[in-house]
Amino acid sequence: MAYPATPLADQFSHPTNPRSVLEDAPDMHTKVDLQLNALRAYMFGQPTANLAQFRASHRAAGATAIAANATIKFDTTLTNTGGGSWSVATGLYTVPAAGGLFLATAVCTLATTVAFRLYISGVPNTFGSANINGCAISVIARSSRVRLVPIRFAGGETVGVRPTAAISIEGITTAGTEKNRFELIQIGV
Amino acid sequence: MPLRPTFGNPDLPYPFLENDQWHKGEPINDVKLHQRIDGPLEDLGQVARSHSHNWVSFRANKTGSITGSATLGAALIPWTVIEDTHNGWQPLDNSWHVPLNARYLISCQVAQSGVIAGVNLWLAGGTDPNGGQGNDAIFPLRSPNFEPIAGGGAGISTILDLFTFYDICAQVTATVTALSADSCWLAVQQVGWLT
Repeated sequence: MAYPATPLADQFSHPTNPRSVLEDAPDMHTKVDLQLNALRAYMFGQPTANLAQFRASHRAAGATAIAANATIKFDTTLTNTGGGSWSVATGLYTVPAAGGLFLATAVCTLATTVAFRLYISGVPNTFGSANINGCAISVIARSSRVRLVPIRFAGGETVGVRPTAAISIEGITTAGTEKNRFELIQIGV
Repeated sequence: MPLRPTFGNPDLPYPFLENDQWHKGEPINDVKLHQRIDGPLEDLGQVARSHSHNWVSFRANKTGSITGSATLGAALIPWTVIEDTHNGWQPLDNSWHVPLNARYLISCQVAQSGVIAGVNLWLAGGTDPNGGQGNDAIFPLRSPNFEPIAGGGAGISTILDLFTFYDICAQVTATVTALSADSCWLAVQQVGWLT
């Protein structure tokens, strides 16, 4: 999305008489009111309106086994606005066609201790790779996470979260205890 | 037909249309119209266009050996620059010079391939022109230790208001072997403006 055309350098000069001003009501409306209205609509739409938000959680009653490098199929969509689509069947989020600047976060908590890392697969090459790896698991906390990372999407990418080793996600059934989640929050266009 | 005053749109933000910029009986000419309408419109348009477009963005990664040091500023990570929209990277200093006064989200992560413990990540900035580091480091942020297992790592994400006299850099406290480019990054993303 882009703000419309640049106002003319001097759009009020009379076309034939430089000492005169072209100022009839329809003309002023076109050159001033409409531009101001468009600008107001654009600026009031920034930065929070029409931006995509996607949050998903895994709420299986019991522990869920995930194979190494398999996409985690978060089964509960907490928030999904802005046109992107989430598939529980594939575990992939399709970034809105317009793309934009996003913050990525992923967290998983395990039922048993495994040395692994989460990674977000399918991200564009703003980091020079197709994946972003998070921290390795802590032996005590049994969790791995990708912290707030800014990623710029061109639009249409399919993005998912995978573990580097076979894991067993801790069972969670109720809202408010989202220990396993994936978030992509758009912060800019 | 007389020119209408511009108070017809009260929702517009300060200061462009606040106050009475047209005086009763004031002769109007194209220069005044240009100064009072085109100029503010152009300013607003520039703000609108630059808002989240063309924001400062720096992204870098690292593979292979990373020389660390327990002394802050002694061994800054020589990142491989992937994107640097405003040419802030200083390769001789291994630091990123802040190009605009703005609010930035900084995300830094280092993961290593072997079993190592007691290592952590520093993210720092300062005014020292020689890499922005040293005793005058302004905001050294230190992560928790690496986990003592294969593929351990440490990361920091933070939002800071930064000015152009800052240089941003990172280091680890001991030498490690970077797991992969996927696992090690320094990203600085502008997320707002300072006024």
